[in-house]
Amino acid sequence: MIQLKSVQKIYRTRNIETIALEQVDLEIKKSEFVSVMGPSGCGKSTLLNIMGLLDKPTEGEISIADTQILGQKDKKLAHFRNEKIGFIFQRFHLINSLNIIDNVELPLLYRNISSSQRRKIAQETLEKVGLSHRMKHFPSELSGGQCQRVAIARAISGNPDILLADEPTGNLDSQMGHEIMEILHQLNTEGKMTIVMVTHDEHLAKQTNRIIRFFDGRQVN
Amino acid sequence: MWKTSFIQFLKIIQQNKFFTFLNLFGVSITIMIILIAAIKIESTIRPGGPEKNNDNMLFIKNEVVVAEQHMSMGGLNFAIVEDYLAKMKSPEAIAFSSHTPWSFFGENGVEEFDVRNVNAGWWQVFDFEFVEGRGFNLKEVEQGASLIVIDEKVKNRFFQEKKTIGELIEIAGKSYKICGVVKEVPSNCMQAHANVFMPYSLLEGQGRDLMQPGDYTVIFLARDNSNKDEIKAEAESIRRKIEPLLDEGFELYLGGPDSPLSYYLTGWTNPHEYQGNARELLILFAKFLLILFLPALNLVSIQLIRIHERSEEIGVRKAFGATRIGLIKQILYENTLLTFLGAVLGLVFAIILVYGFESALKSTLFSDAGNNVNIQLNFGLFLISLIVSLVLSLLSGMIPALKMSKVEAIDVLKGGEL
Repeated sequence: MIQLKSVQKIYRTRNIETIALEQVDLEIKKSEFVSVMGPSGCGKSTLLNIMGLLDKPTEGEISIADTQILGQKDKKLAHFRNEKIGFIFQRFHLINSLNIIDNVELPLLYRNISSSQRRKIAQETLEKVGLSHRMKHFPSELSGGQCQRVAIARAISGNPDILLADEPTGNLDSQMGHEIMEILHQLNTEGKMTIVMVTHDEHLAKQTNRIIRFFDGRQVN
Repeated sequence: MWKTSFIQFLKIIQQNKFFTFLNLFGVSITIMIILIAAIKIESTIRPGGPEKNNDNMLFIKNEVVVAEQHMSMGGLNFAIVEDYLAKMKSPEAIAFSSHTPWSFFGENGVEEFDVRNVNAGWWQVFDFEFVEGRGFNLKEVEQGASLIVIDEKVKNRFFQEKKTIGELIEIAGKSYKICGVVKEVPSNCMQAHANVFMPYSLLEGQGRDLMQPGDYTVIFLARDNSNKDEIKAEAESIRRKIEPLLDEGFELYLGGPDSPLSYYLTGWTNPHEYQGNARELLILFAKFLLILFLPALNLVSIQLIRIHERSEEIGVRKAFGATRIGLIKQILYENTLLTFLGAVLGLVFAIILVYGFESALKSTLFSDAGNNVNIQLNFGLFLISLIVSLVLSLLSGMIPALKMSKVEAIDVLKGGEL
């Protein structure tokens, strides 16, 4: 599903050159649930952003769902992101001015779907994460765990093939973290979604199919 | 998509009410000021009342007799008017008048009325509304008949409800027979306004020395636009005919024939500086654009601040599939709606001012003399202002929109800002 070949990412300023990723070769299969681990600054999030087409590698090749990504134009990448990839962020990144159901509808706004159909899909998705009773609430009225469940609903409302989760439980207590992991496992097993999760938590990582470890921008296992 | 964008727009303007207020305030007050200023300009250019057909009128109000070391400037000389301009063939009708005040000591102290000395064509060129009687005709003017037309203000002052036609009235020691009563002329009808109208032939000792400007104004009624050109050409040929009659080395300039708009725009003070309307119209239009550009600038700065606030939202939208073009469209759509809302509010404010505080507005715009001026909003100008505002908001919106579209999702989602 995801293939990275000799991927390198270098951040350059006038005086300093920082290697964030170095010669990363990686393949993640369809419906695999992979966790990415490593110390802070080792390149985990950079890897996730490159897989999510939010960032471009300095060198190397990326193929997602059998499509070569490099060199594609902004419009095509945006459509690809919208159709194939869902994001979950550590800090939720819900839009505070929109209520819950509008937040969940967000990925569907960029598709050719009627408003009634969008609403229906968003409602069904919120039911999946157990928040159908909070549709009209605003993010500020929800707990951290509930916000992350909304963020998951938003990530999956467009039915993407790939879910990229950047420390999805990092801001939550263990109970809520456990609930979120249950949802992710369910999406992986029942929905056959490919999930790549960045985490610091060894315990959570062990629950996934595979652990990829990074150190100083290199894959170490 | 647009419906959803509209709902989101409503949510966004509620998000930071202070910025929304600043945006709406800038646009609405500007539109309101333009509409109110237009009332003032329109009341001069299209004053209504007897001058309601002034689209077909051309004026000559001034003349200048000029030599290298000498310049005399004033109204038109009586001889130029009576012997030349009043005999022009091309206009449909010709009116001329001079203006004199009439004051006397009455019960309430000094009372003042305006008197115009006019020709018979006066009643053809202007559209007076007669309450009683009629105007004087050519024969009566030529015979020097002591007839006058008064307005309702004079009637009410001297006759109240009594019969007026055929009654005598004394002005400056002479008696005149009233042959007509007209409705009071709004004070913004600068050419037609007076309380008393009498034949110019009753005036004695009018200056005929061509070297001295007088105090007459001539108004030509044209049949159509092509006739206006004929009138201008004939007036120019008359000027050329008169100029050799002046002392040697002197030139004659006539301030017209020109439209009310020309007079408003140029003022026509110095013939050497007179360059026609085009430049003045351009300056007026530039002022109009400048005024409308101010809220557009306001919009740019506020939107730039808003984008800073909305950087997280922009990052999320990009992550979930928003394209650069889509984001540019979104910000332009929001700008346009905000401007439209502000313009409608401006119209509402102007309507409230014009119809709710009419007398206060009139006294502000026209001083106390303006109480009888009819004022109304120019909805055509509102539409033009709205369109120009929307175009400017689209253009000015490009700056924040481009900045918004360049936001890298990854930067803001990692916790950074723009």
